[in-house]
Amino acid sequence: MTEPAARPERTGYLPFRVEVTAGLQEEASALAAVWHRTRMVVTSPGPDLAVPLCLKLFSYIPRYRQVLLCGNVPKEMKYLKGAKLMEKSEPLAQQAAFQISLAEEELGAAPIQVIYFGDPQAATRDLFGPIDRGWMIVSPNIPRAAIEKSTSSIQGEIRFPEGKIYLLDALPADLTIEKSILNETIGSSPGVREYMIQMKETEVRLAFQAILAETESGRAVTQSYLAEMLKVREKTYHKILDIGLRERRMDLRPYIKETVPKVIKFLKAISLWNEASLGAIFIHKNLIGYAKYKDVDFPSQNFLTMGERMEALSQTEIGPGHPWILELNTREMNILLIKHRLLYGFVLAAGADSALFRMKLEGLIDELAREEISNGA
Amino acid sequence: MDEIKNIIQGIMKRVPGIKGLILLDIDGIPLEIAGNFEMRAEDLGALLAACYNSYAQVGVELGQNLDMIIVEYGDLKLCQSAMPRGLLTIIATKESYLGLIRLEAKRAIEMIGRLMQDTKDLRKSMMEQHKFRMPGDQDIEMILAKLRKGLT
Repeated sequence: MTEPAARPERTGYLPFRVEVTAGLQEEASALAAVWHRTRMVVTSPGPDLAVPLCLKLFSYIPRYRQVLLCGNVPKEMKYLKGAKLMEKSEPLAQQAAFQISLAEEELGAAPIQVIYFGDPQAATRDLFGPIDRGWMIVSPNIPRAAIEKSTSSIQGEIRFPEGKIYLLDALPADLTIEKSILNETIGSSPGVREYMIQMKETEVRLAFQAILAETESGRAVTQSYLAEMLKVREKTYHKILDIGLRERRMDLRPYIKETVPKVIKFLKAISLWNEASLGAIFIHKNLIGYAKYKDVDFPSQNFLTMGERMEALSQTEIGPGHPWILELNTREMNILLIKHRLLYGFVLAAGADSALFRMKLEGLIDELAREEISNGA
Repeated sequence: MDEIKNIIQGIMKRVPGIKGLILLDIDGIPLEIAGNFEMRAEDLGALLAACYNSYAQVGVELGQNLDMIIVEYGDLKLCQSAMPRGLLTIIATKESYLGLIRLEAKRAIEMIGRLMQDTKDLRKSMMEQHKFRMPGDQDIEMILAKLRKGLT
């Protein structure tokens, strides 16, 4: 068995697989810029360094997007898997094609990501002028002043050893998700890092489609309901809506009843105690607050079912009256259901001191009961 | 009817670029209209229903159900969606986002469909109130001829 041939050395070339020394902030910013379809100009001190930087950014592009390469595409980029090479054609015709693609995105077509190799001035003047997202221009040895002259004002700059990325749109303020992925994969192979990035990006896209389907149904959709069903935390929830807006120009926030700050405060207060594994709050049948504190499998719908049975019982002669408390102690967990003005459901760890928990809870419930919480519908 | 009116008006207020909405019974009788139209409501309803039925017939030949028609004019977009017993047509500016219009159309169809269990009574009251009559093929031809005459 022969040894694989040694890779020939090239001056100024940084093999893609080497861990780059840029900080976490820079990496996270670059990932966010690509994910949010920020317009950008990528430049490097020499042509040899532009390709590695471009390959890094390419690895951040979600695989479900259609990558279009145009301009003077370097040969290293021509045969990238999943990228389509656009033959040189009249700029206006290309621009029209991009605009049609962007319009089709509103109806669910795969979002495009255009990577243009060439002069930024010509590109923004002839090609990208009216296109407000999803393109990057790669051009070595371009000073900042030249970019500012030919494009809209620069909103940010990301520095890498290979070059710089000038952002023409502002980055999102919160890069927690991007940093989290990159942090988790420090020291991992590029393949694993790419897998984690792609998995998150695909999850976000699929979650948006699920939320869209829910809103199309005309039913009341609450943030809590989505958090439980899609198993997403708050930051991911906001990322889903932001990316959906960037990819499909659809702002779904007006169609979703977000969790009221008082309810968030209530659930956060409980998170500091040890007893609770899960908490849910309902107004009628709408889930208006949901928090999972520990790993427990208990659909909130169960609280509703139990609550309905109790309410049916309360109509009879042996009914408990209002407010009522129901406690079920099992081997695996304790379930606490409280009907005050709202319906509160909690799962406590087996053996937890439920009396102490109820005592601590009383004050919080009284406080919340004083607030006007509107129906989630 | 008030609830349907509220749904329609809500869409008009919420979505930028929407110029009008027309809710039709399956025979083309307008049940609710929002926005300004120069044509008579009855004529507009008849034309929209006839267009929709033509494409639905094509769908039948192809073995497909017709869900939605999207038409792009010079400065306007028109989106027509099927309902169990009616049609919802949304007219918007060219710059409007189709994705959002489709979302609103689908939500409205769900909500209005639940409200419109049976449009017979509604149709009867609309016809009496506005002195509508059921459009026939000859009526459609007359309307089209009038339009052609107006355009030349």
